Amino acid sequence: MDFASRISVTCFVASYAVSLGGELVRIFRQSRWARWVATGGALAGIFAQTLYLLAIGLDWGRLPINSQFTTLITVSWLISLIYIYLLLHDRRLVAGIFILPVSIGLCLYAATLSPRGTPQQGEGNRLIGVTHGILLLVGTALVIIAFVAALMYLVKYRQLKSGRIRSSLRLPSLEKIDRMHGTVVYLAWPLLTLGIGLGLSLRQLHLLDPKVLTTILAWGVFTFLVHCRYRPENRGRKLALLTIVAFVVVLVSVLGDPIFGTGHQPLLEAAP
Amino acid sequence: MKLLCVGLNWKTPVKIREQLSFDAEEAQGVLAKLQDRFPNAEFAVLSTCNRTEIYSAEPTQESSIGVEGLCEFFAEVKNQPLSEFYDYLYLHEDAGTALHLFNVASGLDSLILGEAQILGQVKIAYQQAIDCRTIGKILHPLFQRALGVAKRVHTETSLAKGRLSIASAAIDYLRGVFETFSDKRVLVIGAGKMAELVMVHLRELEPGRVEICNRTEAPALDLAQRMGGHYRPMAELHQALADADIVVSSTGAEEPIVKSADFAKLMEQRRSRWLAVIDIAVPRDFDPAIADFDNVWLWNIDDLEKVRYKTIRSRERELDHALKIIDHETAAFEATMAIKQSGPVIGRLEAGYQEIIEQELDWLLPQLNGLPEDQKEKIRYFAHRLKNKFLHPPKAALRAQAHAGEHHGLLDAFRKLFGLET
Repeated sequence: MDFASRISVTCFVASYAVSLGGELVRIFRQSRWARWVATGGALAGIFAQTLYLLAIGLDWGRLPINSQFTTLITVSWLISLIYIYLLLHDRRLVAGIFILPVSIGLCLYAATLSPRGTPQQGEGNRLIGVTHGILLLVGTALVIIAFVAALMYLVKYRQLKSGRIRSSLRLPSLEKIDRMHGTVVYLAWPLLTLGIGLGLSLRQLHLLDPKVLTTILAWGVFTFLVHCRYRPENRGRKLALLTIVAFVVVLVSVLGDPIFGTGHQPLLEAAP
Repeated sequence: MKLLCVGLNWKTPVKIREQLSFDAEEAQGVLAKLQDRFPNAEFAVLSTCNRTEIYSAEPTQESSIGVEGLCEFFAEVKNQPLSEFYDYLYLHEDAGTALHLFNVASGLDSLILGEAQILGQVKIAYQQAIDCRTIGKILHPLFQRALGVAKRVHTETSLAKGRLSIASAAIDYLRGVFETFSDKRVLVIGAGKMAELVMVHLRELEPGRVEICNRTEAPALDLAQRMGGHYRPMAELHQALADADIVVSSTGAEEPIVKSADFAKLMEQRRSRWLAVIDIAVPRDFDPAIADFDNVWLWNIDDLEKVRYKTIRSRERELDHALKIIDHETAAFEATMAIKQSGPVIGRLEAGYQEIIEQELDWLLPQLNGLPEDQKEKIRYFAHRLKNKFLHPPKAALRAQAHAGEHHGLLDAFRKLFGLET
């Protein structure tokens, strides 16, 4: 893994940036070479990021979700993987301009964190810790995809309202975006609920801890979002806006440690 | 080689076009007659509602048919005096014929710029000529290239993209909102021609249920029967709107039949379920303020016209790009055919020289009895090298001229200089 050890965050961030450049060109002109640039950049990025995470995992002898730094890189990896699936699945869909900025943003934010993490021993049961970590990780990735779907919904909604159906920013039908949103929201909620529940069972609660408070708030907002999806009269633009609010709250709870100055209790810290 | 094309297109008045068009059976008869009369030539006939064209090709530079001959044949088979339609005919020769067919296949010579239907019609004409065995070494590559050029134009430009009719633009709008239609209910208000036209396009979406609401029962029932819908009386309009996912409205009402204030109540009843409304009536059937409701998309005739206009503008922008492709392909086709033409001449030239070499070697080698076999082999090899070196410059010059499309004079000179007349 000597080669992998030389890979840095800059490598895959740069690759994703190239891919984003290709996607931006595709908004103005659906050209074959722009799609190749987008695909090539994304594939190079995911390859480098996979090796990077693999090297950390092998070095630590455990899943790379043990620190906030590795958690953010892994969440970015998951959503980039979803982007590549969409890119290969629908060759005219320009999903990268919604997903890649989030993926790049997570990596850049992670790169500012110091220390980047070391293998830590959690407080509780190892199996519960790992399950808690994985559930929250996948749940967070799904919340990000729900946010992306909400953005796509709002753009498509605007396109249709203004009658611009031949916009160069090609998006799926509103109904398809709405279904995608529903699927990820319904999948994310149980994962987040279970993940947070397991996390709370692993340690003693400090209810006034801003981290705990924002996590509970994020869960509350997301639960309200799930409730709204069940009611047809709430569906549509309002739901998309609520998803953006839920995403922001979840993001604050995931990234908030440096803001709150807590640092000692990252979302997935308990994963042994 | 001589390529000819005689025909007329949509620019000719329909009363002339309809007299000169061929149906499939007639076209086969025309091909058979042409082959009987000119057995050494190749033919293809392209006949659609917008054009009738005869293509001919002969291997010799001088045509035995001639443009005038094709025109007269046209008049003869249609039993019409040539003078009545001669002014409408266009005539193309050689590269002009290739250029014209490439333009036709790519939709550049169509009434609706970039229309793709003509490509299928060119394929049919080509297949028909193959079936009638009137197509050979010249028209085969010409038609194959035409199909390839059209494909290239459609792939590399946006010339064939977009919707050009109001009804088909409406379908694009609906596809933007909904993904599946089998679970959707469509309400058509009005039973006029526009409603029918949109319904024809709506059928391609295969909606779950179609209802037709109209003031008078008879035309609505008739339309419902023909299009596979269900009649709903106008008195039930409010409930029908509450049930529908898609509404197409085209009544002749003087005032909006659905007002904003009523619509608010309707949306409450619908629990804000999505509704896509296509209002193609003039004056409009739906109050424009309805467009401001959440989860409602209302498009009127102007929105649909905009799509049409944008498609036309976008196709016009692509025209230059398409013409460049066609020019390039025409030049490439010309060069390919020229090389093909010069091939037999070069072949005969080489064969002639080879014969002389063999004769001279047969004279020389028996006189060199004491010479070892490997030395004799070297002499043979020397003779072949000499031939190749002598022939290289004229062959290269002929190929270069063929590439430039200026090979006819040189070919004739070759035939005369080297005694290659057949």
